[in-house]
Amino acid sequence: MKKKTDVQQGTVALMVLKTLDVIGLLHGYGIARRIEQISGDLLAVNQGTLYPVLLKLEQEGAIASEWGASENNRRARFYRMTREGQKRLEAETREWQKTADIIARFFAIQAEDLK
Amino acid sequence: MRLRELFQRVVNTLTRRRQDERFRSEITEHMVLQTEDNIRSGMPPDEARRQAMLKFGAVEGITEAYRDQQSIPSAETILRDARYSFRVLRKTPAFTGVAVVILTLGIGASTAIFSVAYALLLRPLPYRDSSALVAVSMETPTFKSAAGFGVALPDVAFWRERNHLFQSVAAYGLADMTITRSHETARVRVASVTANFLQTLGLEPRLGRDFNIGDDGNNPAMTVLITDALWRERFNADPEAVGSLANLEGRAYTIIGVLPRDFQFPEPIDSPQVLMPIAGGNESSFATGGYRIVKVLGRMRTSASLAQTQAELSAVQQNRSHDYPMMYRSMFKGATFPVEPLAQRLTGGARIPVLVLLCAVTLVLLIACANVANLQLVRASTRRHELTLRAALGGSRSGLARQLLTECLVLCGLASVPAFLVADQAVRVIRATKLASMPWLASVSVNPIVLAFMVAITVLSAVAFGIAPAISGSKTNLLDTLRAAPLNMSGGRGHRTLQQALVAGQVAIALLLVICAGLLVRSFRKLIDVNPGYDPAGVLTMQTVLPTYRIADSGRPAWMSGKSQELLARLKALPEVRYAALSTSIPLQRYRVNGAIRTLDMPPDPTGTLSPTSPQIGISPDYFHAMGTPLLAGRGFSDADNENSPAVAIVNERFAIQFLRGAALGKHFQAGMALYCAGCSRGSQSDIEVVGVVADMRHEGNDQPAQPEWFVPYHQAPLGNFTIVVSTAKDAATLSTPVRAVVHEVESEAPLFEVGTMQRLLDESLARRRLTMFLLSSFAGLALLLAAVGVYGVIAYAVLQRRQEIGIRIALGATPGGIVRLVLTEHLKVLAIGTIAGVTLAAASTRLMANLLFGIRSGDIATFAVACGVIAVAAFVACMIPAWQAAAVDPLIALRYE
Repeated sequence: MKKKTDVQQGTVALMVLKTLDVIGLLHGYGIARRIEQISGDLLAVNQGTLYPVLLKLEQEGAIASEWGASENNRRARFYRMTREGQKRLEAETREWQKTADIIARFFAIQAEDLK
Repeated sequence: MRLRELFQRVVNTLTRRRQDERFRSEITEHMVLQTEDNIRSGMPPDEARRQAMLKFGAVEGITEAYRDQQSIPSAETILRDARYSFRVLRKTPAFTGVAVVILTLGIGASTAIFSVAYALLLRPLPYRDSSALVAVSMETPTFKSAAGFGVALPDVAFWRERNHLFQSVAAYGLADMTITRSHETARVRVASVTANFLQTLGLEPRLGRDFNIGDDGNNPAMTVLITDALWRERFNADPEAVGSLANLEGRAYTIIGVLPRDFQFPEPIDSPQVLMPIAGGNESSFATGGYRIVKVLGRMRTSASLAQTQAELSAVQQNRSHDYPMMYRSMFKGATFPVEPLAQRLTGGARIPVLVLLCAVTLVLLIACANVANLQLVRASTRRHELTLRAALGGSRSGLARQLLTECLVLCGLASVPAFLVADQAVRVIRATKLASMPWLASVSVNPIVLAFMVAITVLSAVAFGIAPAISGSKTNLLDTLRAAPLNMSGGRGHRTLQQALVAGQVAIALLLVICAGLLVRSFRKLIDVNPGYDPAGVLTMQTVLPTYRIADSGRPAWMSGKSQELLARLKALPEVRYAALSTSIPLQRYRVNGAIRTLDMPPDPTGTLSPTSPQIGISPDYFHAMGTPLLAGRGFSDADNENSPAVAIVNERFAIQFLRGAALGKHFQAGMALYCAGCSRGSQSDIEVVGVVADMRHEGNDQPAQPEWFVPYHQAPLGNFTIVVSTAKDAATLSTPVRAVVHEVESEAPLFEVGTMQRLLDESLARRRLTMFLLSSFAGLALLLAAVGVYGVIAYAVLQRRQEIGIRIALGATPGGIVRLVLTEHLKVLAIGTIAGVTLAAASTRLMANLLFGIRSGDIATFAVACGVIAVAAFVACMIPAWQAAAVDPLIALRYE
């Protein structure tokens, strides 16, 4: 049970990092929107759970934040990637790639391949 | 959790820098943007806001997750855990009660002893930068003493001149003097000190001034410093006392200052009340023989280590022995000058008993911890169901762990208040013993840091043994545990093994402590049974000093003889007094005059000095009667043995064996000290005939062998300072008032001090051993009790687990005896392992306390056997109770649960 949450949180964290890597500076709502657009339903509900993840990433030093003005000129907190976050993203991307490759190979297996 | 993250969280918690503010504004911003987007996509504003909130999710839950992320669990959570803990603990009063009592005793006892140990071993001395202070003593091949033999004053002066040796080096010698002030006399202890004494310690007088450098030496200044206590007692704390005169031994001294209130003289016993500059000390006093042996303390240079100082001092002394006058070369031959930290010197004799007690009490604490751990373990097993259920309902493992830890903390918290009271009471008891040899005991108090430390250790052990297994247990398959009936909660093999190991350990440690206590108790009984060579019952002793300073030198001996005779005659006339006598030294008194002797068998010494030395004691005729010491051969003294008759002596057995080859009667020996007798002349050695042999008296206490001693008639060797010994058939203490009155009538200027019965002196000489024995026995008793509780707990729990099985057995016809046997045999193995381990431990470790023992070996078989018996009985009782309970199980009730 706990494990499942961990995976999900880890996934969200990775998505946050990738988003910030691509876009650069972005506020919380913006990150939530991107993830929703790309992942579909993962953050369609419970968008709020993103914020503890952001805080954790910031505490771990993967991202940094500062106050700034949003597009409608309101005060908003903007997040950006740090060098450490960059490294982590690269490492985790490789990790995911590897896992995905392995899984993909298994899915590609035909019955006759195992004969 | 990473270090950095943890740090951040701790900082957040400590600074209470809640980032709620930031979070709230981020939420608001998020909502606004979402709502705007929703409106843009065509929703009405109300619906747009509602949808935004739905999409965000439960704000409360997320806020909590957010908070959890940024700090250590909030005060809220801790309070909730604490409340729950109290509820759980209240529901199991038996467990709570037993645990609190165990923790109270264990923590209380160890806090008390660790406080004492802190005061003794760790607390810095009350001097500036006291770690740099050292004591220097002299050891020669013939003189070795635990208390440290003194150093010749000219040597100290020599070291002071080589100022690279020490930053500062001071010396002192102690003496008793009579102080007279408006016709009241009192005996005070006076330290003759070098002028830099206070400077070396880094202290200053609270009133007045210190000695000036140069006040000591050939013409010492007639000035004194007095202690705060003396100032209050004798001078009514009058500031005018500084500058006034004090009369010491008939000479007037100016009081130049009062020492600080908390001043402690660097001497474990007999702290002086008066300091005066020491006389003499230059090199020429070696030649004339008028040098003093003094105690030395030095302050090391800041850059020097102990080893370095020692090495330099040894090097300096190496060359110096050539400078000694001829006469001292042989005497100081092979002398070494050990340097040791002052703190070590001051606590010398008390170190080993305290260390032994420290070990013992640590073991008690260990047993207490094991017990609590065991109880936790048992509880963890019984609560498996609850824990698993909570895990199944979504309680995180960290949450469960936190809960159990809180329970543990609450328990220790509950125990810490009574533990403090126990420790405080124990310290009071220890302090109340007022051991003369351990004056620092008076300043011991419970140390709160020590208490906190003990509580922390207990919590840690409970966590390590009790909670950790419980948590790892909760990880197991939820379904299995839930499916099992609540009563069928087997603790699992791992738990059982851990429990049994804990029980075996407890039994082993308890046995070790019981053996140690047994050895001390038996030593003490032997010590009491030792025949000291005198009968303390009905003997009153008091010291006095005749005011010889009133009499011219030449007339003193005759005057002292006359006074003593008058005094004894008046004392004998008192009703209830059987014998009245005096002696220049009685057993258990610390100071004695050593007289050099030479028997005719010994070759003459080339340097002209006599050696060896042996205590010379002047006594009045009835002394041995008063002390109840049997005369073994020859005759006692009478008043006819005086300055007009030949020199005679009575020697003790030890003397006869060591110096006179056994048959002493009628033999002659020479004494270095001139006596007053027919045929004796001043300044030359006296020839003495042995007229009697007396039984040995254990002068230095029952645990020390008797020394060779020789007694001379008081009239032939009068001293101003002597002890009056009065014996009665009644209670000796009642004689104190009439005897005081008589002494005052005979000589109004003679102070009386150290008034007490011989029995009290004897008791005091045993006090330290008695205290050590008492404390260690208490610890052993405590350990025994705790171990029995531990054994009982584990077996009772095992029986509870097997209720159904036992019920079935009984239903099938098992007899109660058979059930008892069943329960016992299962646990006997564990007890046997514990016992064997305990005996092995004891055999290996009791050697360390060998010098606390008297009259028995550290491996005393009888003590070991009795201790094993005691443990066996305690363990048997602890086993029998649950075994009987098992036999009494009603099969119907036991089976109904199925």
